[in-house]
Parts: sequence; C-alpha cells; structure tokens
Amino acid sequence: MAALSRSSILGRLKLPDNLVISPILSEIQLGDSSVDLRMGTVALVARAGGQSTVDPAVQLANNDVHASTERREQKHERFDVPFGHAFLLHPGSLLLVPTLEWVNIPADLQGVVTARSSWAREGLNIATATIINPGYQGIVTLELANFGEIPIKLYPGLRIAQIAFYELRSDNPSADRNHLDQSQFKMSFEPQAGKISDGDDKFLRTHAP
Amino acid sequence: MVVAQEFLLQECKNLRDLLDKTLRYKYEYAESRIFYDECSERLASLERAIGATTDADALGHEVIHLNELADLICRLERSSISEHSWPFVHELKRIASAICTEDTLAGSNTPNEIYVLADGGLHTYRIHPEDRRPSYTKKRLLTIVFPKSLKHFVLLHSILGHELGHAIWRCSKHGSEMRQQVETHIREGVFASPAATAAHIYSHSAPSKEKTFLGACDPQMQATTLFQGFADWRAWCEEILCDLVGLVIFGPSFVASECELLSSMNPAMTGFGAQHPPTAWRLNYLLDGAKILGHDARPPVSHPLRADIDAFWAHLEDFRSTDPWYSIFTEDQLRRALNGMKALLSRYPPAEYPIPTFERLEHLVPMLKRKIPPVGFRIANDGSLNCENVDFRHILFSGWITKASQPTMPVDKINQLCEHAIMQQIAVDISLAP
Repeated sequence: MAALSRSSILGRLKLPDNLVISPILSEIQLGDSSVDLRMGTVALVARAGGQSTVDPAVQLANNDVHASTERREQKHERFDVPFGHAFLLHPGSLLLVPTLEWVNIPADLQGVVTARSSWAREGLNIATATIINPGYQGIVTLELANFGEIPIKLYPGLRIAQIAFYELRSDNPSADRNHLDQSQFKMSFEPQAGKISDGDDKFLRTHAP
Repeated sequence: MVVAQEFLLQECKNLRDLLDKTLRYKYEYAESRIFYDECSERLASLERAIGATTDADALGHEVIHLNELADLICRLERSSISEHSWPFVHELKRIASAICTEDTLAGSNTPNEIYVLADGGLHTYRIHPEDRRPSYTKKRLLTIVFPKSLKHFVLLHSILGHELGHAIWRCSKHGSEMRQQVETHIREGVFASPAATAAHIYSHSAPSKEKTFLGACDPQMQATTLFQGFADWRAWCEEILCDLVGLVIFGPSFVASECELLSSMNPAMTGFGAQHPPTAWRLNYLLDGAKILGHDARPPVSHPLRADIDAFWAHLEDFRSTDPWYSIFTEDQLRRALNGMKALLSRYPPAEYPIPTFERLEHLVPMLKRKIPPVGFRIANDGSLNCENVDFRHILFSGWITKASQPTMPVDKINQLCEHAIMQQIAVDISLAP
C-alpha cells in the first residue's frame, strides 16, 4: 500500500469519476500527503439517562420495533450548529460530527482519517483512526473525544481532521468491485449510530443447552 | 373588573415563564435573543396596560393581544432549529429581509423579524404576517412555516416564493405597489371584475370536467352568487399576484414546485377553492410566465445539457391544460404584470431570480449526476482550487433538472444533495468574503 503524495491527490481530484473531496476552501488544506477536513454543521452527542444504553441485542431487526427504535432515538441528541455558532465538547465526552467536505473514494483507494496534530495537542482527538472504504460516498463521520481537562469550543468550518489515501492492491478487481455495490453506508449525509449488531445476531440470543 | 385584571396579570406572569422555557432549545438559526427580547417587550407593555385599567372594554382589548402573544410564544416553544432546513432558511431570510420591510420610527426600510417553524405535512407551507404591528413595538413578526415531514425537500421549498408574496402584500411598505399591479394589469379580460370571472367559470366553453365540478357544488352557487359568499374574488387576485412574485423570485424551481405540489394535492386538477383560483389556470399562467421571463432558454443542440434542460421543461409542460378555457391572461397582460413585479423586486437584491448561465448549470448538474453536492468549487487543470459564489436558486434549478433527466435517481437523495450543497455554499461564500 502506497500513500498518495500531494500531486497524486491533486491528480486524482482532477480526474472525472475518481477521487472527490468537495469543497476544498483553501490551499492550506492540501498537505504533503493528506488533505485537511473541516467540521460540518451537525453534532450528535450521546445522551445519558432516559432509555440510552449501548446494547446490540435491542438493535436486532427481529426484536420489538418500538423498543429498538425508542432506544436508538433516545440514545443520541442531534444538534444543528450553523456557521458562526459553537458547540462545546466537554472532557470525557464523545461527539459525532460530519465533515464539511463530501468525499467519494474510488475503487482502488482507501482513506484514513486522523486528528490534526495541532488539535490533538489541545486534547481533541478522533477516537479511532477512521478507515474510509473504497466506494464510499458522503460526509466522513468524525468521532471526537476531549481527552483534556477543559471544555473545547468547536466551530463548524474549522480544520480538525486530515485524510490520507492509500492505493489498494487487488488480486481480483472485478470481485472487489461487485462487493463494493453492497456497501453499507452509501451516500451518508450526516453521522448516525453504527450498526453494531448486523451479522452477529447469533451471538445475541440465549442459546438453550 | 379587579378579578379580571388580577387574572390577566397572572396570565402575563405565566406567559413570561413560558417565554423563558423557549430558551431550552435553539429554535432559530440566527439569534433567539431577537424574539425573546421582542416578546418580552410586548409582554411588559401588556402588563403595564392591564395594570393601569380596570375598565372592561380596555381589558377586553388587551385580552386579544395577550392571546396572540400566547399563540406566538407557544409556537416558539414547540419549534427547534433541527426541524427545518436551516441552510435554506438562511437564504430565504436574505430575500425576505430585503423585500419585507416597512417604514417605522426606526427607519424607512426596517426589515420584518422572521421566525421559522416546522409543522405538519404537505399543506403546511405558509407565511403568517402579523396583520398589524403592535403600537408599542418597532417590529412586525413574520412566521414562516415549513412542513416538518419535508425537512430535507429543499426543491419543494421554492413554493415559499408564493408565500413571500403574501408577506409583501399584507405587511410591507411595498404592499400598495403590489396591489396596484392588480388594478393596472390583472383587472382585464377574465379578471376585469368578479362578474367577468364568474361568467368565464360558468361559460359554455368550459371543459366538461369543470362543468361536472360545478354540478357537484352547492346548488345555491351560481354565476351571480359565486363571489358573494362562495369564493373571494379579491383573494383570488392576491393568489395570482403571489404566484407571479414566486416566479420572479425563484424562477423555474418555483414553477416546478408549484406543479408538483398543486397537482399532488388536487390530482384531478379541476375546480377551485374559496381562496384559490383553479389550479390549472395557475399552472398555465406560470408556464407562460416562465417563457416570457426567458427562464426556459435552451443552450445549442450540441450543448451537453440540452437534453437535460429539454427534459425538465417537457416534464413541466405535461402539467399544462391545453383547453383555451384554462388560459386566462393574454401574453401582453402577463408580460406587463411580470414586468411590474420585476421592477419592484429588482430594486431589492437578492429578491429577483438571477438567470444562470449555461456554463453554471454545466458545472452543477453533472456534479449531481455523480452524486456530489452541486456547489461552487472546482479544480482547474493546472491544479488550482477555484471557489465561486453560486446563488442557491441555481442549486435548486440544477436539482430539478437532474430530477427530470435522471428518473432512476431517488428524489430524496437529490433533495439531500441539494440541501447539503446549500450548506456547503454558505461555507464557500464565507471563505470568499473579504
């Protein structure tokens, strides 16, 4: 896997039906081997209390629809944060935010999103290094956590993350392309809770001896 | 009347508690402070007025104001910014603030304060202008209502151009100029008088389905009584002018949204309402009006977007009723009325729709086809990044063109891509600002 350099990223961005990062508002977003991403205008924050729990069992489709929907809807609180307004991220809190940029990843690339080091020094971290799979279309969901001891004010439009791209090696491109069509999160417009129980339902039921 | 006075003062206190509760949520895109302060000021004035009198008539007068304020505060309390498309509202407010103004002690072009809420379904689009400005305040409030069920359906939101017309008609300093358009241009031919309109409705040349509609109505309703209790001729005139305002403000997107919404709510496309002229009349004069304004301009046949733009207008022409009975204005009459509205709206940018260049559409529509929000950003061949201002109405138009030319592309995705683009475009505009 080889990382794309600045010129390679730009070369890809110029090609039709290839890599898309839109819009890139300033040259300063283009690094030597990455592109800075800006915070979008939605904040999804886990809401303590009420019915909120993380329990994969209640997310199963064949469970009580009312219960699973209620828990899903009550687990997070969604905030719209227009430009010029701020959202406060408290120490120890987890926040899902979208990037301002729309990203399309072609079949032969993988994106890896990490925090910008300048923000990391302030305590703001992206909880996991997000891998963006080939074929993905949409905003990138950033899982922000405040590892410091003081609240951090976040403003939409700030550069808070960066994405690097890696070329994929494929032994069977057509099989990989067919698999892309079944991608789970096609055209993602805003952050949403992960589907943590999909495909694992056998492990979420009581098994009689 | 001391009991009534005490009760009403208690109600003022209750309303103040309710007003404080509105600040639990961010219910407005801009500053909730504007509405909080405005309502607070109104409440304080009412408290003073109620406290100063025990006269029954005077208290009765204040009860009306108190109830109006209670309704407004309750609507605020139930609304939040997450229930409507704030990027669209951001753009709509720029237009409304420019044209919905009035003369007050604070200035000759004081903009109305605009409050937005989401409620209900398809039929909900409307603007509630306060009929009168309370004497003790400088501001009149406009309440713009979006359907909650259509939060992301920004293409349809163009219908609010019509509602802006009502706001201008009712409460701005331009209302009289707008009403003058009716006297000067609309009151001819079929709309020369209520009798002339009724005669056209009941004419022998009316299509049979319209006659069937009339036959199913109240037998007391006849040509001579139609506008004497069954329908409001002046309201029809207002509706027509508001349609023309919507066309001049939102362009082709307004025609498309009106075609889709009106035909969905009246699938048979027959008949009329007490406040609204026949749907088919409205769609016909809007399609004619778009041509008069040059909105239907086509690029050369060889242009890559020619087929897409043709598909858009061909789709809209499907909504035209071909029987001559449905065409109620002459081309000259419609042209004069539209020019009158253009003359008014062009003085208050960005109210008038700016016709996009084909180059602009050639940039936006392909982005949508590639499932990318259509925004003013591109990378030049030399690798330089180019951001540019794009009017949000061009994003909407590109959405409608894509919808017509790409029937397999889900409508909700086109809407969401356009909504996302309007949000991104605000960021682009911020980045380009000096």
